[in-house]
Amino acid sequence: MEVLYLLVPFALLLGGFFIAGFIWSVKSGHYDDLETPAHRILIDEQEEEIEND
Amino acid sequence: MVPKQRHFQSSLKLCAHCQLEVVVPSYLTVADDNDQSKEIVFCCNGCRAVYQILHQEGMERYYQLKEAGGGQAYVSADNYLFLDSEQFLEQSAPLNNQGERELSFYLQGVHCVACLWLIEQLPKVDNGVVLSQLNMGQGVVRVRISRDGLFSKVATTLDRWGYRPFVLSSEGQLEKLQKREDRQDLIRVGLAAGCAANIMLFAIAIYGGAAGDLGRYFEWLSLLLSIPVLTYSAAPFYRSAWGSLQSGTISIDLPIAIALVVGWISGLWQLLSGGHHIYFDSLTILVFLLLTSRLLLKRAQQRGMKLSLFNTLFGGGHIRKEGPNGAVEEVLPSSLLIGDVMLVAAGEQFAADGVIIDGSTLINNSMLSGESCPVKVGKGEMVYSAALNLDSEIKVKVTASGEQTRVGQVLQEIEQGLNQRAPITKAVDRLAHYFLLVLFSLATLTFIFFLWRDDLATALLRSVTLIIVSCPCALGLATPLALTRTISKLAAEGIIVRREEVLERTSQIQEIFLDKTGTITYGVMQVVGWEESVPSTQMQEYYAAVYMVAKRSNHPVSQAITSYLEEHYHQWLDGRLMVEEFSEQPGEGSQGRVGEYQLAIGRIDALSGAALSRSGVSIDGKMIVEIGLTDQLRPDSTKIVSQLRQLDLKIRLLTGDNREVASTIGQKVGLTEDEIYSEVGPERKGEIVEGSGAGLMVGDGANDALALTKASVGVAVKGSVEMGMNVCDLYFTRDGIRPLYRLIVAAQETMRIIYRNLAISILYNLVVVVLTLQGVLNPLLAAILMPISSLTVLLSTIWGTGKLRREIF
Repeated sequence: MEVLYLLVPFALLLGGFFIAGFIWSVKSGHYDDLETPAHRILIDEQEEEIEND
Repeated sequence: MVPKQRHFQSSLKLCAHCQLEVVVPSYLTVADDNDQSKEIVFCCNGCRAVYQILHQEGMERYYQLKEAGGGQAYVSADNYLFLDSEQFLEQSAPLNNQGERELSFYLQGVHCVACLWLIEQLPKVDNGVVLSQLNMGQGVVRVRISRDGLFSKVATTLDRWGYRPFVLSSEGQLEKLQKREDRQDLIRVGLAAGCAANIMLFAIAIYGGAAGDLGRYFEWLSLLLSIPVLTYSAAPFYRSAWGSLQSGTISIDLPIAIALVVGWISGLWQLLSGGHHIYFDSLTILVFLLLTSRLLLKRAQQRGMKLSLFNTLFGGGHIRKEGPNGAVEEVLPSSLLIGDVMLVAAGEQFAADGVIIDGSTLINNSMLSGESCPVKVGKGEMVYSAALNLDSEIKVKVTASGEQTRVGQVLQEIEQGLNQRAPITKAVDRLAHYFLLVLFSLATLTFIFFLWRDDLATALLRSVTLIIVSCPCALGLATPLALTRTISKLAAEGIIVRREEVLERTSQIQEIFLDKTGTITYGVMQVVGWEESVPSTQMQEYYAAVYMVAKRSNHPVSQAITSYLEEHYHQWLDGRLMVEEFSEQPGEGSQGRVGEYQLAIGRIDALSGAALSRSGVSIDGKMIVEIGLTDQLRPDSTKIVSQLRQLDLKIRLLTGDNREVASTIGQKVGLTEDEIYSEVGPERKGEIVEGSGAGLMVGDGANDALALTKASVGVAVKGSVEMGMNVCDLYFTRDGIRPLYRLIVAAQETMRIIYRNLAISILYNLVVVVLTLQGVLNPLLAAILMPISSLTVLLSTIWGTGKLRREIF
């Protein structure tokens, strides 16, 4: 079980890495507009359909 | 000579593209390409555009068609030229490192995915545009242009697509702070979630039997991970608790803050002294759950954020100023000084108060006086900011601008009134207050008692257990959740609630005050009678000519005629005809020559105040059609009023119009004479509403603003003036009073759910407090029981609001 003394900090480090990633994504504005991107992704398909016609 | 009379009723149709409800008659009604006898209607030009693109050939074709089809630009390109001036660009959209400029516009009329698509096509249409990004929730588009681009061109394009652009001054200090706070909230939740989840892993290991060195190791790691949660994430609780202490009140955050601090310190003490009663897991989970529910609540409220942008909008227009040497330049209203001369064209709003020095015109003063009939003004007379110039261009010498204007002063007064409004203690707060007092006294007594009987460890253990186990979750979590779920559902239905306490007040109202103009009626003139005095075969030749002359004028009557013709005689209209010798006489009518026809549109009887006003059109001096016009009742008003009656509410109609008009409309919606208050001015409206106590006022425009603030609940309806929204608790983004019934039922039901939660919570707390004092519960059991009780009230809330959603919406 001694290995836990080493593995747990590693696991926490990994967790910390993800939290840091989350903070970075928030600060760079990924969550500022949650509504429009959901719509936008739908339209791109529509547009392609028209262009292919 | 067969007199032909046509009447029609307004009704609701679905937009052919996005299925949004549209009130017909609408100017966006067209004949279906596949079946000419069928009419289809659109909610906006964006929908119409995409509909056509999908049903015809290609995108290019659409623009050709649009140019050919009259190409009626709403505002001429000249009006946006000020966007290109060096001074404006330096101030509002400075060059960035790439040599590009960025500007945001608020767009009127963004409804659906189609609008999003069309607006984001800007770079394809205009080579100067690098980026066009729309935020649908706020209706704000961010446009970035290269060196070759012109903002005036962008604005004109948007305008012609049917989205009227308003320049937003570059991101203000307030918006920036708001944005930073939003992001910080999210980081707080994320950090709490990450740490709490990891602590839970250790806690499970410890509960599962990890003891000895490994157990101790896990406990120390829990402590380490709890530090960021207890400091950074939980900061809002400490701040609010500190604030409440300073103001001498007890807030829900106070016991939370105390439980966190005492719990953490006693955990640390246990850890150092070799004890095992450590519950960093329950503390961090508590922080995470509380923050999450608050974030959700805030998000739901921010759907109404669009409104606050209107503050920025007021400085967004532009006006034409005449310089000392007669040169005309475009300036922002904020730069107007007393003594400046401004030119105001027909259809424009006055940006400042002033005296007319040249010309005469008709103005609509409804924003200030509530009077819907146009007023004739001439040289030497005063005009006021926010009034609408209806008839012809005039020159005005500015006597007051900005906050010094009459409207500005009304606004200031209203803002002060808002601050002075007595804070209504929430039902929840009252209960929480007693709850917390009892809890603190109990905890203190427990601590003293066990310190005297046993030792410090037991005393701390019992009192902390008490605080943790009895955490007022129904107050801290379930109440905001119930409110959030209802508020977000209401927002989706077009009802924007500006503060959560409004729902409580809404559930208690006993009386409803309805404004007439623009609320239960459309607020615009509409054709209701159309009597032709020439044979219809001959009439067909005249429609196009009448249409063109009417279209040249901004007068409400002409506008009503224009949309009537577009609706009913679409096939006879021809946008290419030229109007010559066009002229308008304020208060008289307009005339012009189209081909060989000499046309005149004017009033037949000027019975001011009559419910129905009559106008006529003559060709070469011979009357061809008599037109009855009125401000029509919205089709759903009657139904809503009868629904509201079922809720045992008193209903009143308030209007500045005279008795006759008020009675006619009032009777149509099923109101009796004593329920109608006619000829009441803004001040009297305020008095009546204030006198009622628990009254809800629905209205629009500045003339209702006072009444809206005086009311227990003020509701602004769309189509109303921006300023109404700044003073209201609630705002309907859809026309009419249709959402009113749902709103009231939802508010009452939500309060019922909250009271039920409180009952559950009180029962639970009574039981666990007794058990804790008897020493049956330890912190571990408390940490398990507390989330279970939370879960119970949360489930009760979700089930309750879910039921509400299914049954009412």
